[in-house]
Amino acid sequence: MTASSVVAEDLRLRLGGHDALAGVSLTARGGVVALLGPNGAGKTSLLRCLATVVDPDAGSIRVDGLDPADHRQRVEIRRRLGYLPQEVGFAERATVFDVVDYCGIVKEHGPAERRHAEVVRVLCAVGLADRRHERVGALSGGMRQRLGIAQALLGAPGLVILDEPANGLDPEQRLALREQLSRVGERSTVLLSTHLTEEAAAFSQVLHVMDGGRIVYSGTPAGLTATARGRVWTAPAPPPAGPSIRASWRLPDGRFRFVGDPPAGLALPVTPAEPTLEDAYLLLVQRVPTTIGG
Amino acid sequence: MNPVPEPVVGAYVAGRIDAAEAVRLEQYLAVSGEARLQVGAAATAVIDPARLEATWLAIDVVIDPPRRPLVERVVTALGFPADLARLMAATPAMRRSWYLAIVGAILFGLAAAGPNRQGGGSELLFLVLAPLIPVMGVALAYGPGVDPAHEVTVAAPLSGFRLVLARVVGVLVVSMACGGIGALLLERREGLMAAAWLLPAFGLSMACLALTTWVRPKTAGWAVGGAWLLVATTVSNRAADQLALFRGPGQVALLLVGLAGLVVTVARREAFDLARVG
Repeated sequence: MTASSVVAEDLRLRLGGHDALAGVSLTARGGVVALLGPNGAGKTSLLRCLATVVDPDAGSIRVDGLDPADHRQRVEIRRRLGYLPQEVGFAERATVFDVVDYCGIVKEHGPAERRHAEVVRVLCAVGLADRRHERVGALSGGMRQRLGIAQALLGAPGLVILDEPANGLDPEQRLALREQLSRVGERSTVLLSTHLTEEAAAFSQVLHVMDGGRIVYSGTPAGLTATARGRVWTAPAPPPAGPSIRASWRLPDGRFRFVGDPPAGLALPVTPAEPTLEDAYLLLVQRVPTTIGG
Repeated sequence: MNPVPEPVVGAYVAGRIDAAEAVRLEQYLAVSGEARLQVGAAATAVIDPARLEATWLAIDVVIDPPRRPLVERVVTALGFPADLARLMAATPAMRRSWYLAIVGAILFGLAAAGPNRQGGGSELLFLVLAPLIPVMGVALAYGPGVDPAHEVTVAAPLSGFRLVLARVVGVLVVSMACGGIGALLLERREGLMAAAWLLPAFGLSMACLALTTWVRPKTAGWAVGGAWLLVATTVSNRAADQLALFRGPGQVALLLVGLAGLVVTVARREAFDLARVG
């Protein structure tokens, strides 16, 4: 299956009295696209709409030109979709193999023999083939997450939507996930959400930062990092607290690194520092300033 | 035996060999261990080990398929296709509802055989409670908060309505069978209207199913169960005949409730394809 195209325009969704999505538009075709943002930014709501499990209140979605608002077209989109929800669970007493096989049945992956071969393929891909006879209840959190990823990869879908796929994975498993998703992104469109900047920077070609139900940045990770150039500093002492300082902390060499514009009239000798994606993200997402180790 | 020429081995493992030559080579491989080693070494060098492992495992699964769980084997033995059995038994909550139905039948049996049974009390109790078993089963068959993989299921192309129907049929068959056993146990001593609980069970189950197109299944189950207990208690306390609800007019009313629930469920079947059911 080839990479699916995704076009979303002006999506709006109200949940629990607030705007979960307040006019979100994005396009994607092939590669890994990351949604980065703080908790409650609207990432999950957006992915649920794109995965066709929730209808937006307004706006339009097209996947390969198909409209999920139409029942038949929605079913066709689902044939091209692999989806890992943020909170996915499986029957504790079922075996790893049976869980993925069940997902293969609801995804209509053909007769049992062909489906079973596909189940084995995805279990090998996430490193769970050796545990295929074990019960889900015996798996660690990281293994369960990999099980969720395995079912999303069934049938090599053209569109893979993963909500916080790195949740519960240890560093080694995260590296394996990056490797895996990079390969998937060569032939599919991978849309994933994360609140970890290093995950977003590591292998996504395109990055969308969400905050308050809106996309506040779209571009490359490097492009986002560049927006913080000239706004990250080090100084020999902590700077005075002020609205222009987004975050500050003590470095191993005893100096203080701070993110934000130096307050006017600052007496400290400051040195410009090379910004990271995290710095740029902090400057973009407006929240209460944080001071650590001051 | 002579070794196979390297170009032939190379073409064979790369899949570029002529069909006739491949047949000749494979006949030779059948008799020459040295040639098998030669081809095996060449294949290992060009094939992705992960892909090779997946292929071997896939063969293993086909030759020696994993044993299906007991519940699935029972459902398959009853004549249902294996994949349908897996869909029906996949929800842990639903399996619990089956066990509940079995336990309910046993309890009714014990109550019927008990020494403290007096008048028509246990008869009325059975008629009021038996229809709630399938209602619980329906409430536990599908939906958020019931099926841990619900959102994955919703995002799949299989119709949610079809899946619900499959599971509801499973629930109704088991609970009706268990209820029937309970009814027979009671009938010997009370002269019970053995089938008087069936239409209430149908009516309440369909009402519950229809309600799940708006609210969460557990909420629907509590609402329908609560309403039924209220109505049944009121009628049995106020009417001259304690069993009035289970005679002609009451049965017709519950049949109509069931049919209305069925119509609403079919009309709103697309609600089962979205995560925000309830």
